[in-house]
Amino acid sequence: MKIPLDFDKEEMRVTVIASVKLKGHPALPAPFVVDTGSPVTFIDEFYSSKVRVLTKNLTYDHDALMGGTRIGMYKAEIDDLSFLNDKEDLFRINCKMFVSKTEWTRKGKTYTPTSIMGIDLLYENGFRLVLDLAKNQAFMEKT
Amino acid sequence: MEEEVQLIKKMRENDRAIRDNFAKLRKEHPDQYVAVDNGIVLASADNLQLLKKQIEEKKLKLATLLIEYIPKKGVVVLY
Repeated sequence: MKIPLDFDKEEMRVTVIASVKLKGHPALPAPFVVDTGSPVTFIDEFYSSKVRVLTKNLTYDHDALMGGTRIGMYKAEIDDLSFLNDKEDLFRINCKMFVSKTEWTRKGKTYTPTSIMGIDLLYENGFRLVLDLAKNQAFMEKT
Repeated sequence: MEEEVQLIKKMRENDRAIRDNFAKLRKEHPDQYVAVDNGIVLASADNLQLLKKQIEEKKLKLATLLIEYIPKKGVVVLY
């Protein structure tokens, strides 16, 4: 069973759209950057606010440092995370999820409302990550 | 379940619309945040607070609205 990922040649990144089902809220599609440099998976608050999930109502867990920016991670209660597999069917997994609240490091500077799919999700769900970008292939595979 | 499938597909279309038109977006919205749905930029602003305000004022449908930061040429976003 494969979950296709998108390889963005312009920005040189691998992304996937997933549906996040936070407890008590409707399913929310969000773009995730697949980041093997991240130990955690999180959805940005700008997206979670679409279903009125705000970090001010969640429990703070820890800070993450990303490119000089301090990002507050807040525990989210999640029912599941769903992807479309290579047959365009829904594939659901259970995983830990945080909601990120980016702290501004410099006044007026930019942060991107990015949700990240980290190594934790791949590892805990037994996924194999395949990136053969020369052949334009990018997918996660359940082993 | 079917609704969730459609939501993902719609968001994916919006994501691909941004990718396919990235050069154009970089020319028209450098260093800006854009909100895209149905492949169209529905709002754009210099920061997320202003973008959020536009989204609310225009009463944009939120479910599949894709928010993206468009860096100006020469700037690379690291994750």
